[in-house]
Parts: sequence; C-alpha cells; structure tokens
Amino acid sequence: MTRKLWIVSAATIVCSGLNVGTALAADQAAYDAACKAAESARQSAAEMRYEWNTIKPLIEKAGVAAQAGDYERAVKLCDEARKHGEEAIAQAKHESEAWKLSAVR
Amino acid sequence: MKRILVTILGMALVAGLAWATPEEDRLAFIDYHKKRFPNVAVEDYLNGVYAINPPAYQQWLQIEEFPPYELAMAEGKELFETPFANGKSYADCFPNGGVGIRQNYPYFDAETGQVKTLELEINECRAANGEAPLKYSKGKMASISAYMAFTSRGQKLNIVIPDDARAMAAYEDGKAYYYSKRGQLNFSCADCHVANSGMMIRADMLSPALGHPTHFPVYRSKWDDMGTLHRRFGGCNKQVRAVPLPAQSEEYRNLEYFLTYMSNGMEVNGPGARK
Repeated sequence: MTRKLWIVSAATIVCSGLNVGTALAADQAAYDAACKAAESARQSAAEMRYEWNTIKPLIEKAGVAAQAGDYERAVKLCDEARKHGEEAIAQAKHESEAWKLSAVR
Repeated sequence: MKRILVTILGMALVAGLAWATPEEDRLAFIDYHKKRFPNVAVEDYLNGVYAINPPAYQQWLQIEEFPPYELAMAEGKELFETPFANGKSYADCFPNGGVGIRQNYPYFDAETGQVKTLELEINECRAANGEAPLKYSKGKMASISAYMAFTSRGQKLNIVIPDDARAMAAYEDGKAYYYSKRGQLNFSCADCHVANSGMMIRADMLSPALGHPTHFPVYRSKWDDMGTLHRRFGGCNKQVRAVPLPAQSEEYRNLEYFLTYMSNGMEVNGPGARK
C-alpha cells in the first residue's frame, strides 16, 4: 500500500513538473504547432460546410498574443480554436444522419 | 451477429424516418403548423410571424401604410425597365417579360442539373447581356427582386420537383440542411422555426416556417435595408455561430427549393416588411 502511494505521488510530481515545463516552454514553435493544428481543424470543418464562426477570431486573438510575446496565451487560444474545429467536424458527422430524427413527418 | 442485425435495423429505421415524398413532407408540414397554431388559417402564414402575433400584426398593418420597401421597389422598377448597354432588358430574359413569375422560383433546371433561383437568373441575364453581376444579398439585386415579387403578388407558389433523380437529390439536400444542427449553439433552422416557433427569443417571437419564402425580399428594420432570402439564411447561420455560406451557393439554393416547396399553394406577397 505504502509503495503504491509512493508511486502515485512520484508520478504526480513528475507530471506536474512536465506541465510546468510545457507552460514555460510555450514559445514561437509551440504557438506555430498549436496554430497549425487549429487552422487544419478549421479548414476541415469549412470543407464540410460546418465551420463555426468562433474559430477564426480565436486564431486571430492568438496571433495578437503571440506578437506581444505572450506565447502561453497564444497556445491556449489556438488549442481552444482547434477544439472548436474538432467539435464542428464531429457535429457535421453526427448531423449527417441525426437530422432525420427531427424532420417533420 | 445479433449486434450487426440490430445496427442495420436501427440504421434502416433512421433512414426510413426521414424518407417521404415532397408532397408527403408538405402535407405533414402544414399539419404540424395546424396543430401548433390551431387558430391560424393556413393562408395567413404568408404574413410570417404576424400571423401568430396579434399585437405585432396591428403594428405591422400601420407600417404597411407607408411601406419601408417602397423606395427599393421604385428603384427595382426603374432598373428592370432600363435597357442594358446592348439595348436589351431583363424582360428579354424571362418568361412573360419577367412580370408575375416569382411564384415559379426556384425551379430545377434539367439542362444544368441545378436549382435556379430568381436572383441567380437576374445575374445570368446580366451576364448574357454583357453586364457586370450584382451582389446577391442586398442593394440593386434586392430591389429588382422586390419589384419582380411585387408584380407577382397574389400568384400562388408553384414549385415543381420533376421526375428527375437530380431534382429529388437537390430537394433532399435542402431538407437535410434545414434540419441539421450547426454552429457552436448547435441549432438547426427547424429548431427555431418549427420546434420553437411562437416562442420568444429575447424580445422577438420566432416566426413559423410555413410561408417564410412568400414575402421575400424584405425590408428588415434590424438591417435598415432590403435583403434577399439568402441574406436572411446567412444571418440565421451567423446567429447560431456558424460561418454562413455564400448567397446563391448550391446549399442555399437547395435550401430555398425545399423551403419554398413547403409553402406551395400559398400566395406571393413580397416584398415584405419585418422587424
């Protein structure tokens, strides 16, 4: 039991350290990667004609934050944009069949 | 094996739920509205939200005494009657000289395999006569469309879905678009204008879907301007936080095809005035 507790605690400390490391390491490269992923998700949603109008403004805000050197915020905004893009893609896939359930009949 | 059978059965059931002929859809649509608003006559739906909102109806009647779309209509008439540089005019492009024809739009064009709307054909007419295209959502396009709608007042919508698989596919695409949720708010056109019609959304009452296309283009107080049906489609999409599609995109034309078919038999009374 004690051994298990030690392992869990050690893992928690290591993970926290990694998180702090990631946050501190938010730089131009991290922003570029996050932004690329967001833009890719946005484009896929747009091709499916399901783009949300929240995505571009988030990417634009991220650009402003990156320009000001606030890469941590820029990465966060791009991650948020990517999530919106992914949710829009999931919505498109879901609605390709689900709409039928709400049709008046 | 059992799981596969259940899945197949489920998929067949879902597919079957939406399958109906356009005429079955239209009758079901009317029946739905009759049940939702039992005191409203079907022919009154051409008045949009004012059919179900008596106080707003009274205000609207007052507005109609000095219709805000009149200037646009006058501009549309002038544009319609002014010859192009080559001496021809819009009247040369349309049946019956373009007068009293709004009720037949949109229609399925077998030659191109596409749904043609009135606005699309206005620009095709311009292109055929060497004129630059007009923007589709507002401005001169809305004015010309408003004048053509006015000349068609009282005519009954007569949308035809020919025995052509491509026409049926266009209708089904429009229907799918109408019922599909989109945007961050996850709303479909039907969520507002079918399932929640008559409910308040902030200070405004959601209008019923039946009769929607009868009165376009409209002068909308919110816009302080005229707008085509596709401008309104785009606005609705934006409101649910989706990126709107371009006016006259294939999706919006198919959507117009489905939606207008649902109002078949109702009178054209455009242009209209709306909040």
